[in-house]
Amino acid sequence: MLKAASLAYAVFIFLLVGIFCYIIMQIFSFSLELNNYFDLRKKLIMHNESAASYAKANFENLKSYKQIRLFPNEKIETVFVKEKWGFFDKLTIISSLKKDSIRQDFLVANKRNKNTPALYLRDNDEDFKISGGTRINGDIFIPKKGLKTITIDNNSFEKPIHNGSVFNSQKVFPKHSELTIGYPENYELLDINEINEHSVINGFNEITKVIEVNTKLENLKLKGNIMVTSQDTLIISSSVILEDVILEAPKIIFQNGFEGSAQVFASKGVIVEPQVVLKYPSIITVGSNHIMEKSIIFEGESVFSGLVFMQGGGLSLEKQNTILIKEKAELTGEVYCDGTLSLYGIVNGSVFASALVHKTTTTAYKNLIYNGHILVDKVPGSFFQDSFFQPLDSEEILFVKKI
Amino acid sequence: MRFTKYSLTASSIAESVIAMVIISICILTATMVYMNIIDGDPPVKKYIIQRRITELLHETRMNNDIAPFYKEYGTYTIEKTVEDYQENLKLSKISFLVKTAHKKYTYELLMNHKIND
Repeated sequence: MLKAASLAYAVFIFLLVGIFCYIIMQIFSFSLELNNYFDLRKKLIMHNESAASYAKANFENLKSYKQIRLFPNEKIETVFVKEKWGFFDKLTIISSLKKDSIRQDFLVANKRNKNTPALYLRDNDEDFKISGGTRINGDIFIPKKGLKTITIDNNSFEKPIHNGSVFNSQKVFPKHSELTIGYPENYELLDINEINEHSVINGFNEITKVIEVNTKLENLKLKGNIMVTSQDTLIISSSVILEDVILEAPKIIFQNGFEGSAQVFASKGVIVEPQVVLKYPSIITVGSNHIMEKSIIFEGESVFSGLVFMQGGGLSLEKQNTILIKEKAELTGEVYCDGTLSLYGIVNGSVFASALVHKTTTTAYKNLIYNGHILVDKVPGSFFQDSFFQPLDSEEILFVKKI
Repeated sequence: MRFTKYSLTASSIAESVIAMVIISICILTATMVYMNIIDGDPPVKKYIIQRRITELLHETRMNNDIAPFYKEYGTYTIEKTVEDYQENLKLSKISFLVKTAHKKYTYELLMNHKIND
């Protein structure tokens, strides 16, 4: 039997319509929330860009962990944190509003001064000689005795070229304070045998991971906030991929075919084998050590972009601190050698050397560049600089890389 | 008799009237909710403005363009103003004021002064 109970039907319809309205409102409020979320993220990213500009203009006076408001009529709070990451300063910018925040980390250094000379050679009372296919583009600071073009090995087909002005250098090589790693306050040791997936990616918002290696590092990808240390010679195989990592060992060898970027801190020496590509921004530094000989060797067809730094120990140790850049090796950036440099490859940038030498099987020619290239005009527009040569110190801050 | 099997009892008039009132209220409320949501601030317009602002911010940064302007884009206007941000700092504060028929938004940006090489 069917009973026509209109009221019951009406209540039923009321419920249906209620559910329908509720669903519509839920969908609407969800989409609104999503929109607001993306708007807020966008706003925070935009704000972080402004904060980065603020940090560039005010880098020296930035106070870590102090909250500031860049725009008084906005409620976004910004915090800057300045720390060291190897050679570079690491700047963290955090913008936050309500419970949401955006964090960006940058490697920061001084921007390269456009007036940086191609070559600075300490005045050691001998003339500076160029020979063979040597080519130097840019100003040079050389001993008072001046620049001389010579022919050796009966090679009179190629003419060495220098384009630029000549200035006198000082008898004392511009000293540089030692580059130090600057260990983070907190770090955790990671056993290399515990790495299962052949890769460790550690963000800069995490605690620094330190990996101790016996001799050889292979079949591994390391990226970010990681330091690799060794008590002995550290060999980096071509199966390793490194990015932004710090390496520390007495001696470090990059094997044929390796590609990546790293900051290298060695005490005895570094060897960069052929076909190795060390990408921007890489650092190779061999620190002060008064006892043994130290060397940095770039084999032919190796590529490097960044800063090469040989810390010296004064004039008496000039001969035992050496950098050798072989033919077809290509470096971009700066080479600082408080020792003796032999240049046969290409340096797209600047060379600062206490002494130069070209060695044949029988003779060692002092202050001579034979077939080497120093091309200061080939440095990319935005490149960092090590500030040690007072007149050329740049005050402009460069955000080298977002990490 | 075929229809004696199903007897249909009619509701009272009062009951029917109440039912009709409830259903009318329901439909009216549902329509109002629906119309409010559909006719809310048209998001397309909002996205057009945001896109324009993103373009302008990008252009300003890329070209280091610190020239102020006032532009009309049909239903909304954008005014760009430039002032120095705090003393001693080589920073410009660039503000974009967007005015639509009902609302005003401001987007602010800090930019480093261009260093002449």
